[in-house]
Amino acid sequence: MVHRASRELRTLVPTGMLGFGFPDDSFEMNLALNPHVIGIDAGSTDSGPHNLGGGIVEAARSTTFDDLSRILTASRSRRIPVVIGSAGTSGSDSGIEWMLDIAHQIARESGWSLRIATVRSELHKAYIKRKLRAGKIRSLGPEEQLSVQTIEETTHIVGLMGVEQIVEALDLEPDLVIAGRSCDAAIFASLAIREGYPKGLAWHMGQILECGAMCSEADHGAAEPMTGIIREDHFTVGSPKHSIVCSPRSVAAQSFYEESDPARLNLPGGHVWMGNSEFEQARDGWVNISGSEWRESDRYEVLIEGATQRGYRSITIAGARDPYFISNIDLILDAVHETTAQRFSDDFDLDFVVYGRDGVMGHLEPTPIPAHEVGLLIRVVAESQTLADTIVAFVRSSIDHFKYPGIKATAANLAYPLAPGTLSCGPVYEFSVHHLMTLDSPDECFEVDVGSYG
Amino acid sequence: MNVLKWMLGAMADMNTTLGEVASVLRSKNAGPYLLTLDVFFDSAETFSQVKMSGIITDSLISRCYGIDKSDVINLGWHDSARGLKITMVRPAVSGSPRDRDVYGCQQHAPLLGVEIPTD
Repeated sequence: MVHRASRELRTLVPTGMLGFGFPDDSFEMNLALNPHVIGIDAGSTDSGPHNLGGGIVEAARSTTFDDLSRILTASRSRRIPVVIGSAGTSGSDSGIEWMLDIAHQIARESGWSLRIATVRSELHKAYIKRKLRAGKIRSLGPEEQLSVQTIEETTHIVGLMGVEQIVEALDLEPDLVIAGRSCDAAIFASLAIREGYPKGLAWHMGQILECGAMCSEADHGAAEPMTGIIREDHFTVGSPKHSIVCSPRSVAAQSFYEESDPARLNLPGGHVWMGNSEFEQARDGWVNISGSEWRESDRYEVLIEGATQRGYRSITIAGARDPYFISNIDLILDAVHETTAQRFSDDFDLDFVVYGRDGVMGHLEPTPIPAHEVGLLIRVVAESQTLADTIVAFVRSSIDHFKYPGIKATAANLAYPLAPGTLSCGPVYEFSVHHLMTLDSPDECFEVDVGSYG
Repeated sequence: MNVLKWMLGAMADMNTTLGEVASVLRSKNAGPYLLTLDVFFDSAETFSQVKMSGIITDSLISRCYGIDKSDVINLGWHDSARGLKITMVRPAVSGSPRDRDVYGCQQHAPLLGVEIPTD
């Protein structure tokens, strides 16, 4: 019998994002530690609202296929489960279908039968409206209170699951869990919490592992395998690969990444308090972490995310080198904006981004002084692609032939690096839902299913 | 002229800037609605020197970025990571039609030029 105090559970993270790839040698070295589970994140809202709004997967199918093939080959021979979270980037139903299709193809081509559990996170609008009416949805801060109209306009809404839903899927003893939108850390904390390890430690371990080797010194980036080993009173993170070195500082710093407060990680059903966590150097480049506390909340709240389409975009990119033009640029752009508004009665959004002056930071730029040349990005969003294209063409020619005070270059004002110069960008999306919703129980809106594929 | 110094915005070459004393100085989204700045220091001495200088405050961030103090929602010093964390409301939601930096990873520049007193 394993003495409870001496037991441990090992979690392998092959890479920070499914489809990023990972080196064979360090994957093998981490596998040699005999992991109990392999976890991998497959999604994020970071690349923009189009993934959720348009059901667009950010990762390429071919690289996702390759990564998952290697992971499943390793997990099947060891009879351990694999957990994929935030499948298909957004975790919407179409993302789960996409991932399921890839897993199915791998199983077919390899002659395997895979037992796959899915956890769906896409939410019906009627359900969200009921929750809103019941006063169970609140705003997180900068965004406005949710309205019925916003829910109706939103293309897809997903809820971010915690560990409970993934544990329910693991209870079905699958080879693979394909989870919809998940809290990143839940992917790596679920099996440990199912096995009774302390929640604060398990969640904190998940939070550190979610970006692969970004928690190491000299930041090896996300595309390197890492292992987390949890015990009753601490956990350890690191990699057997000698060039991957974790230090107390590098691991503590990972708690900063993409978080608003590194001492507190808000999660469904509570939060992890890391203000008293201790980071201690262990053997060769591994770090021990202890003292992370789980603080239960009286409500089980999940973040819900939604995105909606806001018309179609068209752009052009141009440069200007003439100092007389550059010194008059605001006057020119303001005047063209006004002419365009007079010419088109339709609803549209036109804006100019002036690179070389304040292109990156806009009004946050403390030194908006133009360089000797500037780049101009002209962006238009309108209700149809044709209208957006037409407006961009009008704006281009208006700027090209604008006669500003002191003009000497009377041929045209802009240098175009591309032909054709007007680019149709397709649908444009916007985040519309980013709110907290209280559930009566963790399984209220997440649907767990299991089946055999291959 | 030292071009890097000039780009960092330091008044004169003898002043030390936050960009020079920090080992990491970065910005990133913290979800689509927030922007977060991380500053890390290699030594505990530098970390403590910058922390104790009292230079970095909500007011400084509000001035550097031209935003209301109430939009700076968190500013914290974290000893174990030797890091400073500043979180603010994003000027435009990530990826919205007028956003200029979807990942929010180039919004740190104004902090680079903050002058740190050396004694």
